[in-house]
Order: sequence, then C-alpha cells, then structure tokens
Amino acid sequence: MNPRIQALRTATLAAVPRISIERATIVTETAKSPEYARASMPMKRALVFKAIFETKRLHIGDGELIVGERGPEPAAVPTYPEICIHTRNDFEMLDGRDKIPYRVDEQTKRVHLDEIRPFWEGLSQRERMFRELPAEWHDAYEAGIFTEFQEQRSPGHTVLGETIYQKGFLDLKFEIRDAIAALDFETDPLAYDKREELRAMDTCADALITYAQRHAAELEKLAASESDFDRAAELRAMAAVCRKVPANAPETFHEALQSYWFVHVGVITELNPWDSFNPGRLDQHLWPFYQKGLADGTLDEESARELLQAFWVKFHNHPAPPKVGVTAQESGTYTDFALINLGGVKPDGSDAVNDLTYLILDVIEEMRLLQPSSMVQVSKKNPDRLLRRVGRIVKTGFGQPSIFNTDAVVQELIRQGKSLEDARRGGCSGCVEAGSFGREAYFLSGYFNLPKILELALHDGFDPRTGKQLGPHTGDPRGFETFDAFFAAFETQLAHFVGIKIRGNNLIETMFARHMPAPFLSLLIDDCIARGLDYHQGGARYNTTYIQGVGLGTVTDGLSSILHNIYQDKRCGWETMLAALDADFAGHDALHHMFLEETPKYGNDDDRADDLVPRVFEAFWKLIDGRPNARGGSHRVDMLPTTCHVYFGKVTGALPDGKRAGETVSEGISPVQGADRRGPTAALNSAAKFDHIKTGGTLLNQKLSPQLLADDEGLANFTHLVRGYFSKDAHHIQFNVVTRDTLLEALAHPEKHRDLIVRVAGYSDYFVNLTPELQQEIIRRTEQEEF
Amino acid sequence: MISVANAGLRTPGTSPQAARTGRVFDIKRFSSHDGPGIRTTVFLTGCPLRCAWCHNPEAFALHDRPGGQVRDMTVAGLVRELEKDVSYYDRSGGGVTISGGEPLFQAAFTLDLLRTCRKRELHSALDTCGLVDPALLLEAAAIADLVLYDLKAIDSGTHRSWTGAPNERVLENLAALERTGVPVWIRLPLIPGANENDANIDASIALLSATRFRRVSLLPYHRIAEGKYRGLGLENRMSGVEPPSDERVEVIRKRFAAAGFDTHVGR
Repeated sequence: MNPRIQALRTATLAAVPRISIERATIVTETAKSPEYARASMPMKRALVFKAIFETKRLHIGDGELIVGERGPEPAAVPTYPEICIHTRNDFEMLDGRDKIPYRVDEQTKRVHLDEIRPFWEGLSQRERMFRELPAEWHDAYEAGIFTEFQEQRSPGHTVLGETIYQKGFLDLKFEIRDAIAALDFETDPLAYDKREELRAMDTCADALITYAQRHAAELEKLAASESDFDRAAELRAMAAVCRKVPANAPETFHEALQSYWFVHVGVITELNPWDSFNPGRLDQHLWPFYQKGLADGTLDEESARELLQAFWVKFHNHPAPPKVGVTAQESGTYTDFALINLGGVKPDGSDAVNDLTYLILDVIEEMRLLQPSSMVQVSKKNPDRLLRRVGRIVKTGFGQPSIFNTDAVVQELIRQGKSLEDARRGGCSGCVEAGSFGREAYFLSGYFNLPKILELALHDGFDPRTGKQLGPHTGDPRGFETFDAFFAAFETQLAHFVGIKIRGNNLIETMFARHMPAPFLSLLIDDCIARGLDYHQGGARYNTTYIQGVGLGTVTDGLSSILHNIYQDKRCGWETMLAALDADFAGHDALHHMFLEETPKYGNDDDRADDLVPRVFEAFWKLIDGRPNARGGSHRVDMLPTTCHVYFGKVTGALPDGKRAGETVSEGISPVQGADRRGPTAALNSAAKFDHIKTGGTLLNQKLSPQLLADDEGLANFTHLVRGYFSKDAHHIQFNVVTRDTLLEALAHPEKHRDLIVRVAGYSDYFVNLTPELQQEIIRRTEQEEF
Repeated sequence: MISVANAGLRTPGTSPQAARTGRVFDIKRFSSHDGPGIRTTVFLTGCPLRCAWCHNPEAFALHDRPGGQVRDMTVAGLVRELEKDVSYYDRSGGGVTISGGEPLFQAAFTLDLLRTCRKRELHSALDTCGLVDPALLLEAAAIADLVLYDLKAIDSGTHRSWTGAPNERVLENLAALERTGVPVWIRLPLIPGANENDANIDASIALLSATRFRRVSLLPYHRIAEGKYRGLGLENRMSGVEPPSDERVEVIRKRFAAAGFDTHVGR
C-alpha cells in the first residue's frame, strides 16, 4: 500500500458517520416547486434527481483518484424523507448510542424537525404503505412472523451488468429517443406513461452528466491553484476523465472505475435502495481496459492496484443510511452490502478467472475494509489455485471473501427462466442472493420466521407472546395421533402466513411502482428503456421477489424432537412437552437436557434429523415458488438471515429443540449454534440434503480455527472441503477463522480488538461493534477444530 | 504373541463377514493427519500397549467415559458411516484410516473392513503400533493402501518403561514391512522426558535411514486427552508435562529433513 492509499484508508477508517441534511433539504425544496406540482410521478422523481446533482456540494479529498460523494463529505449520510422520516427520538438514539452511532448536530436536528418532517409527514412511502396494508399483515408483522424490507428502504437490490462499460449516457439518451419515437399512441394505452418514464430517464441521464462536469470544473480549478506539480497534473487528468465519463463510454481503466462510481453515487442518492448498488463482476468488466492499458503502456499493475484501492475507499466512505424506529435500534452495521463478484464463468461458459481476479484479491487482502464486501464465484471450470488464494485471505480472519458455487447459481437462474447467457452473466449480491446482473430486478421482501410457525402450530394458532389468535385453529397437538398430523398443522399455519406475506408484497410493489419510481436506476437495467417501464414497475427483463426463510435448523431440530421424543421413541408425551415449553423449561431440566443433548439434530449428517430438512424446505418452497408478484414476475425462496435470526429468536418462545424463549434461532441453513458436533464435512452434508437449486440462495456459516489453514496441506483440504460441498449443488459457504480465545479476549478488552473483523451472516463486521447477542452467537458457533 | 480373539472383548461373530461386529469407540471425520487428503478415522478398542501419553485411553479402559461413544458396529454399518464423506475423499485423495487402540487387536474385523474398503475402492490406511502378529500385519498390509507405523523408542528398555512392552517385535515387523510394497508412513510421538531426547532421535534416524520409508510424521505431545483420563477415572501419568516447544519440534524436524526424510508435523 503506497502512502497515498495509506492516507486515504486511514481517513476513511477515522471518518465518523454523521447525518447530512443536504439531500433532504434539496428534495423538500424541489417538492415545493410549481414545476414539481405539475409533473407526472416519474418526472417528479427526475426533478428531484436533477436538483440534487446540479446543486449538491462537491467534495474532492486530498490525494483522491476517484471522485464523487453522496454527502457533502465522506461518511456524511443523507436521509430520504420521501421514503421514511426520522423522529427526534431516532436522531437522539442514533447520535447517542455507543455502537454504530450516526452523529446528528443541532442544526441538522432543527432543520429536520422544523422543515423536513412537517412537509413529508403523511406523504412518506412508509406511511403510505402502512395505511394500506391490512390488519392481518400488521398483526403478523408485529408478532415477528416476517419482516418487511421495503418499510424504510426502496427495493433496489440489483447489480449492474456490462452496459456502462460499453455505452456512455449520451448513447443511452439516443436509445431513449428511439424508444419514445417507437411509442404507439394509437394502440398502446400506456404510451403516455411510458413517455413520461422515458423523459424522466433522459432528465436523470443529463443530471449525472452535469454532476461529472461539475467535478471536472472543480478539478480544473484545484489544478490551477495546486502548488505540487505532480498533483496538479493528476488533477487535470482526473478532470479530463470526468469530462468524458459517464457521458461517453470509458476507454481506460481509470475512466471505467470513475464512470461506475458516478453511477453508484447516482443510484444510492436517487433513493436508498437495499444493498446500495454493486458493480458485480468487476474482474470481468475491467478486464478489457486492463489489457488495453497494459498493451498501450498507459497502465501497469501498480497503477491499476492503486486505482482499485482508491475505488475501495470510495465504498467505505458510504455507510448505510440510518434506519428509523425499531429497525434503527436493531440494526447494528455500517455495511451496505455491496458485494464485488470475482471469478465464475464467461457468457460462453468458459473459465472467467484472469490476472485481474488475483489482483483484486490482493486489494481485498491489503485493504481489509468492511466495504465493499467481496465474494469469489467458483465454478468447476475455475482452477484450484483460485480457492487456495481465497483460503489464504480467509485465513487472515476477516470473513471475506465468501465463496459461491457458480455452477449452482447458473442452474438456479436457468430454473427461474433466465437464458443460459443471462444466467452466466449473473452472480450473487447482498448476502447470497442470485440474480442476472444488469437485467434483473430482484427484490428481497422480508425474512420469514419459520420457528415462529412451529410455535404457532404447537399452540393451535395462538401466539403466547402477543396473546393473539394469529393463525387458523389447527388443533391442539394433544389430539394428533401421528407426526404427519402435526406436520399438516405446521403446513396449514405456514400457508396462512405465506399468503399474508405475498398479498402484502404485491401491494407494496404496486405502491412503489406508482408512487416512487426510480428513473435513474431504470436507465441502467435492461430492458427498462426498451419497454418504457420503470425498474419498480417490471421494466427489467426479469422480475423476482424473494422471501427469505430463517431458522431452518431450529425448525428441523424442533420437529425432530417431536418426531423422536413423542411419536417414535415415546420418551415424553405432548402434555409434558407443552408444559415444559409453557414454563420455558423452568423446573424441566431433565426434559431440557433430553431435547438438547439426546435428540437427533440437524448438522451431524444424521438422517434421523436431516430427513426433515427437505420436508420443511419443500413445504415452504411449494407455497412460494412461482406465485406471481406485482411486476409480471414470480416469488422465489432464499434461505438467509442477515442478523434477523437474533430478532426472530427474541419474539419466539421456547421450542422443542431446547430453545428457550428469546434465544436466537439458527441462521441461514447453518445448524443451530453448537448443535453440529461431527465436524465440518458432517455439517456440510446435512446442509446439502435439500435442493439448493430450487432457491435463489442459501447461506452457510462455518467457523474454522486458523490451525486448520496453517500449512499447505490444510489449505489443500480447505479447497477440497469447498469443492466437496459444491459437488452437491450447494450454493454458498463462508468461513470465520478466529479462535474462541481471541473472541473471548476481544469481549473482555474491546479496546484492544477494534480491528477484529468476523463474518456475521452474509457480511463481515467489526466484532466489537456487534450486539452482545451476536457476539455470544459468534463465540458459540461451533468451532470445527480437528485434532 | 498377541491373540486375535481377545479376552475381555466380545468374540467376533461367526456370521457372514459383513455382519461381523467390531467395537468402535470413536469415528472422527475430516481428520487430516492420518494419511493423505481428507479422511475419516475410525478408532477401535483394544491395545497391547499402555503408553503413558496415550491420547485414546478409551481403547483400553474397562468402561466407557461419560458422553463416550463405545459401540459395536458391523462392517457394513461402519462402511455406511465411512462413505458419507466420499465427496471429500474423492477430491482430496483421502479415505479411511483404521486406528485405535491397535486395530489388529480386533484382527478379523479389521481385515474384513480393509477387504471391504478395497472392494468399494475406498482408500484405506492402517494405523498400527507394530506390536502385532507378523502374519496378521502382512495380511493387513497386503490389503491396505497405506500403513501408518508408530515408532516410539529405539531402545527396548525405554520402550518397555513407557509403553509396557519391549520393542523387538515392533522392529522385526517394521523390517518385515520393508520387504513388502505397501507405502508406509512412520509416526513418531514426541514425548518430553520419554523419547524426544537427542539419543532417541539419532537412533531413529539411523534405523530409518536403512529402510525404504521416507515419510516421517512427528506428533508432538499435547494435552487434549487430560479430560478423557478424568472422565475415565484413570491415572494420567503425564499430568503436569508440558508439550514440547515449537522450537524444539522444529529442531527435530530439521534433523530428519537433513537426513533426507519427508517430514510432517501433526498438530
């Protein structure tokens, strides 16, 4: 790392996130204008976008090579009052808390409370949604049966394809013109709507070009007053880059990175989409520019490395937008889930790994930053040395990169109806979610609490925590003669709440399409321009809505306990089990021990428990997969938790697997924390016992002790372990490599371990910043040590 | 001479081979120091030795420890368990290691297991202490893909005082293996106070240099078994002994390496 990058890295690590009122002020002023009042909905959004990028303050940091900030300076995070509005309490909580604070100064608080909040109250998307959603949805939501992604962020959740590396925004403007010319007002009743949407896209394209030109002017001004000759030349070169992109297609490595970065800032400023935004297959997109630069002598490996490192810092400068209400309290991370993809296959199916793949892995290892997150796609066509290189980085213990099975992802996408080439151009974003990059709007709609469904089935649809009869009456378990009869009750409860969730999703999607289009994002994703439809309205070539199942391990173990202890081995009766659950196991120590220690558990390659996994998964999957969403696409299933398993555990009572009320449920498809005791191969085999190809992503956490990766033999076995798991069509695996002792030491002396990064769930975070529950969980997660 | 059908152990059944049972006290998956690649190691009870540092006292204890896994398994049942990780053996060139105790203490079972592995194309390694009937050892070595052979001390008196038996048979059997074609990996436990002294290391190098065996695994003493001794109510003769330092292990490794051996340290 050279001194420049060292300085940039130090600065971004030291930057304290604070809330900036700039965006909210511009949005509010624009919304009060007569022009806005007259405009169609897409044009309203375009006017807002234009106003922001024509007037927002520019920031060009010392030594920067890539420019553009969402806020007035690094780590200054805007609010999005048109989506959700912070209360005074929210601000005070965010400002005052020890972990993951966002500083809010008095001026910001005053402007927000006096000017922003009064204007948007009642008009925000959050309030609009909550007004329209039915009582059954609110009841289930409050009981913690599912969460809702769109309650305070826009859907977004997409990844850029190759478009911007091949076309400038001026080219896109031509496409827009052609699309408008092709509109048929005689036969197409939506022609007017489409023209408004296309005009809005055109306005946004202009606005981003203006933003780049403003940077060019500023850079030229700085160059003129710069006393350091070299830096002055550099500033002039940067100005030339900004004059050219994104208006025109990039032609150099530097231009390609800068062009993406302007686009990135555009997307995350237009709205607050989930998982920010993401260049996706970076080693593929940049490869032609890298080769060309090396060939014509304008680039060498070191300058490419420096530009990439400067690019990494830009991601880290952008903490996730702070949430509101309970979600703000619950969410403890600055990470915004941009996941750089490396490796995999080319559209023709051949090995996509190139020199740049390894160079970017160097950058990941050296920069050691939370953002952007990174992953490596591993196909059977990729060489083992790719995995070994990954193993060496994983060994350093900051949870990156995570590892994905390209061959499974491609099959998943094809099963969902993507063309072979579009599937191969895809990858995973956020935590583990599969998508066809540049062509798909895949919304994550919310986590689904499977253990809570088990709890309801145990109580005839009654929720002990809220005291409400939430689900249908499926019968008192004491009356079930067979396990199958109980399972049928579980399925009935599941069907009931999946129905509520899907109806809610369709309503919310429609409301986003109607009230909160995203014309800038629509510019970037095929085929929004050609169709004249917004990204939120089904403009993308593929439109998917994911529901993410959480707690597979806990449900499986719970059902295993019922199957074995009550029906097969008759070790206890329903009366006893239900009494123990109602008492949260108080006074039932022997039974608790039996459930916890003497009952077959998922994660040990033990079919007595594992046979239930496909049964639970299929029940969930059949209820969701293929059901229409509101954008002409389908609902699909993912199995991932982020950190929601902690919240779901809190709202779920005692369960027959031995979980006590409030204890965390299992995450992703990982076994219940500490339940897997037969080593990593057994855990992996269990996890591969249902069909991952039917999902759009599964998440498996494995904790390894560093000794396991200590020598070349260990590294080779790491490679084989991953390959073995992937040979079973598994989707993803990620490794936490830290010792338990280190974690305990960090718990005792957080001040000495500020840099300790661990894999949480689809992302990494600073250990000391995690909530106590998550810290405990990371410690508990079975350390698969071999001896 | 060690008897095949051991007193105190259940007599292997006379039913067809696959139904023959053996007494297993542990199955460890993803073991990576018991042969090449990713392996599953099965531990059989019974042992002619009583090494002071034994990490697997379950092998000779008279009763199971709390939470212990001692059980009788048929060859067929055991192989079903061992084949669960075939996907990982395939890619890593791994397989099954039969350890103990001394696996040839349950010779009929071990031979059946080795034969079954061969028929099912599972790579098999036999981990032996060497104090076994030479005919049985040669029979097993002819079926196994690899033999892991323990060399605990070169001086017979030292061997006797730390393991309970002299080592003449061990050395004779090693010489017998020399005349076969089976790959053999030598395993040397490094026990402070017992055998990690320079004299024993020199003697080991001298002895092995005259053989065809070139792969040597050094297994430094560790204290993982302390809890097992407590659980089994057995006296732990090594209590209070510190593992050898990394530096000391490296010195020893270098000496073997300098003598032309392919060295590995199992930690």
